[in-house]
Amino acid sequence: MNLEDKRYFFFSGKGGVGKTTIASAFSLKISEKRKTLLVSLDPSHSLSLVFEKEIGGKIKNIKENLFAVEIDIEKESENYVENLKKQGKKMLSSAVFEEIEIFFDLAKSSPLNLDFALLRFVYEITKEENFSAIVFDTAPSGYALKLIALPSLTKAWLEKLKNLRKEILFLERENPEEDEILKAIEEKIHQTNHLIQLFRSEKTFFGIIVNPEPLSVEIGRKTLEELKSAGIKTDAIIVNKWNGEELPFSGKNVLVVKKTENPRGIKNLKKLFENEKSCF
Amino acid sequence: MEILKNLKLFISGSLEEERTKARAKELEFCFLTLIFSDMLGIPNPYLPFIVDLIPRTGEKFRWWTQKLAEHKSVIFHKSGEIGEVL
Repeated sequence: MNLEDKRYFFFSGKGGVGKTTIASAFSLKISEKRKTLLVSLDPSHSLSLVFEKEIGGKIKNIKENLFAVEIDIEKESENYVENLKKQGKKMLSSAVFEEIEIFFDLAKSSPLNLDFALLRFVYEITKEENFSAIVFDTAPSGYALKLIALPSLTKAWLEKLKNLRKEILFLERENPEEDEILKAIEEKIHQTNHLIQLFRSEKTFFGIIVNPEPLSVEIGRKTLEELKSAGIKTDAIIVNKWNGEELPFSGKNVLVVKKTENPRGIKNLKKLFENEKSCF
Repeated sequence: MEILKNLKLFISGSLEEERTKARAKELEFCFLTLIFSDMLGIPNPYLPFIVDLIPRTGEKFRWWTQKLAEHKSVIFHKSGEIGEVL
């Protein structure tokens, strides 16, 4: 597998299979050659535990070329909406603001609020030019799939909104280039396009992590199929906590990581990928 | 005859202008309905993604709610006005 051409790395798998451990060990490995950023989107912040080091919400240098950050999506999203609310309060008269204030609370309580916050964050961080590799340790559940489907759906809706806006401006003989609302919609379409391309790009790596036990293997297999039907190629299946038993997976893209008693701290994490040089 | 022709053009022109304006208003109402639909009990799943449009469209919110309440029929519209006077 050629990892040199890959720039963004996503790891998916059932909760508890060792996503954080694998993402961390993997980041350590590739940081030997490239400037790497490891991003944890997991609210429980297990990155700090794995590295035995306090990491937090600001990008922190862990070791030579390795940087890490733990993002609290809930907090980020709260701040984002609160800032817009403040902006609205400044822009509008108090009577108008009172009438529309409810929309900010509606946005916060929307079932997709955190998903969109996550997408916004992924968009921002993948635009970051400072790093040649960005590794994402995502939260459990089928998040990866949700993340992949959402930009396309959102884009379709935004296109309708854009066309409507354009027609209004045309009828009112307004200059579309001066319309702030149209500009904002177009910027959002640009964001969704970036994300749609990102997930399908040759530069993006998708890894599914499983453990050698039936349920986790089944979930891994399901994710593999779902990714495939979404038009996404899975680059590797990583069998973590391998105990020497025969595996239901075979092929070039299967990577086996042996069971370790304590995979914490830089020294121990490094050992995880020591025997897998041929693959990574 | 020339005057009559010009008058005709003037009238149809200004009528067209009115129609265009009305159409623009109608579309603007639709546009705002897509953004404010939560107020009608129709949740907009994309609201968290476009919430930054809320401060920008806020000025139009009152106009939109008034237009919502507007009666479609002229008779109802007028009787509504009478109701307001009473």
